[in-house]
Amino acid sequence: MAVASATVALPFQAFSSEQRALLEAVCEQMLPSDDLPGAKEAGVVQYIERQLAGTLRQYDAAYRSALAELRDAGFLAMPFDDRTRFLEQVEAGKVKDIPASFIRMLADHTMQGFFGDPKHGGNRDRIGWKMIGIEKGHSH
Amino acid sequence: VDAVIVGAGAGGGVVAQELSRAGFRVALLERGKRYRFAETDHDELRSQRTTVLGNAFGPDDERYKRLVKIGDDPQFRIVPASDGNYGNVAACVGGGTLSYGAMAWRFLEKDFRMRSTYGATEGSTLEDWPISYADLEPYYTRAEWEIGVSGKAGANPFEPPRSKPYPMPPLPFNREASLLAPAARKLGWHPFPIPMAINSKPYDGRPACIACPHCVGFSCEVNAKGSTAVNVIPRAIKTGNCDLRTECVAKEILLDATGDATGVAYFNGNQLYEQPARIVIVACSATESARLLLNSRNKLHPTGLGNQTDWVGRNLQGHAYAGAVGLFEQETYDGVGPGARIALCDFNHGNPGIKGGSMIANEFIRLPYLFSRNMVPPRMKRWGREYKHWLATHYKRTMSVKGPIQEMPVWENRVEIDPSVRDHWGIPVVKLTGKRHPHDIEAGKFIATKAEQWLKAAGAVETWKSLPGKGTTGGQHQAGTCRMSADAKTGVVDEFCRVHTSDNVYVIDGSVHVTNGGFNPSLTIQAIAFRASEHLVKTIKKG
Repeated sequence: MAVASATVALPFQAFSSEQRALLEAVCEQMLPSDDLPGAKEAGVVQYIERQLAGTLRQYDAAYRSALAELRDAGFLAMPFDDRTRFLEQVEAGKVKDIPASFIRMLADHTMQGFFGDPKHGGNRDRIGWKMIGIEKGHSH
Repeated sequence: VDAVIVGAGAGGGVVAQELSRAGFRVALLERGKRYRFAETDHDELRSQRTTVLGNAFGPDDERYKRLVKIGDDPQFRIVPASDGNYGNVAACVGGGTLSYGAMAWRFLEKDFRMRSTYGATEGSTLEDWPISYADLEPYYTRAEWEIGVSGKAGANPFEPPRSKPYPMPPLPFNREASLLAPAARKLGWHPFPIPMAINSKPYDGRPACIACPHCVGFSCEVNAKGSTAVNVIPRAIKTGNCDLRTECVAKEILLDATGDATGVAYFNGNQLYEQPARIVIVACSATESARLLLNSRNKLHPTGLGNQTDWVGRNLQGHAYAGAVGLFEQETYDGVGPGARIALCDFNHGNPGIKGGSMIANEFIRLPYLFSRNMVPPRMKRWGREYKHWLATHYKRTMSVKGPIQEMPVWENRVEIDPSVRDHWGIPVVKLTGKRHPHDIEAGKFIATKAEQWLKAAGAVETWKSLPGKGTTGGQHQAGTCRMSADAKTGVVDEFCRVHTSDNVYVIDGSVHVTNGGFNPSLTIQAIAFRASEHLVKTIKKG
């Protein structure tokens, strides 16, 4: 019987300032800031970093690998709209060495950080709940 | 003790009350904890609806895992307890009823006679139950009064005869239900308020529902929800005859040379204990009950207790949910919990070319993260500026109606154990295989079409279907793995839930369901538990 091996989690290392800048940039693509708050205002990166060090540690390697590829692709030097197009290419499976599934994972985690309970590190000042019109939020 | 009950959920809780009230001494073993509200709180990311940060109601990822093979995947994978493919229900006092939405449905007459109604079905072990709705009716009534159900008797024209009305009037309609009710009538359908195990007025020493927006997925902060953790189990303990032991993990049922049970071996912490008992009741839900039987072996039960004819663990069922989402110009959201308030049974049976079907109901109040992932139109990219503005402007302008498709039982959909993969205590874990019968998907498409029709009639300007997946079934509505049968060759337990091949072992949970209805199954589990308990009390008294 074939059994797929479980992912082995390595001890968590804090992101470098470059990795964090890249993560902020891709999260900003998921939920851009404009007249309504985005990933930045909600502290989505704090949510992701904290969870990757804990409950979501099995995704840590996938993030580091994708962020390294984005760095090599000069992602931070691109204007906003070019970044969007680049991530759309990733999602379409057209960027070598970054799996399309990275976008799904990133979007899921961004929304968790935007809409989850603030105690997990994101949704600062319940900003995500306020955006959709539930002032009291989904917590007490 | 007179009886050891493994599992303090929907079924086990009822049995604990009934036996301890009758004066028998009961040990109620529960592998999970007894949670206070503050421990689980209203944390969407760690709830019974979203487990992205773990299971709020157990079991934990550190000690529990399963081996799963999903659909046509050639490989088995080991998954932790919070993985969606694990097929979890819950592990805590109250079981699934601590965090459920508390819909309290009676199955319909035809749900007990699926084979007679629809005939043999290729690729399915579709069969009639050995008992009828009429046999179960008095116990449905008992369950409604003991658990505390609010509803309107006679409001559902498809409901079979009942001997007594509900103990409480229904919860009031919310804005969604007020839009959906006239729409259904316009279509010639028959909407009614969903029966719920939620107090619409103070009942049984517990307060009325405070209409908060966090219901399904969380425990109730005021105990208005009729969980076994707040009704039958406390009453059992109050008799002085029931010893609830939490964080006790059953290893195996101990068997003697005649094949009968002598007790249960279980771990508390890492210490192994043996609890002798005259009667053993297995109530761990369909996956874990099958696992416990398969892990209990001796010469007379070489392939597992009750498994002489290979039926233990077979026919795992759940519910293939199907429905639709609609967008509205006006606000449909009013923030009044529980949110799910209106249903209809026009499509449970009698659908052209379809065997069975489901009730259709509006959804509970949508949780923000799940809304952002699961209720977005398929035409839309699910990230970026346009998406964010859509979320901001549509959270209060959507509505979802859906139903739990009555699944065709499949022999190959099964729970096994695998000695090569063990949990924290060294107990072989559950191995899940199988995929849904193609008919479940067809029935899902039919129900989704009706759901779209309903939403459009209520004023939706755009609708889209949500269809069930083809993968492994089970999950929160898991059932079927220890089928109830008149003939010992074609099932695991008799009509009173006693294992055919053992005099003193009972399985009393969703495992015994021959078919799982087009409804949430908790009230049926509890009605069966009241009926089996009555029989058990008589049996023990006779000696």
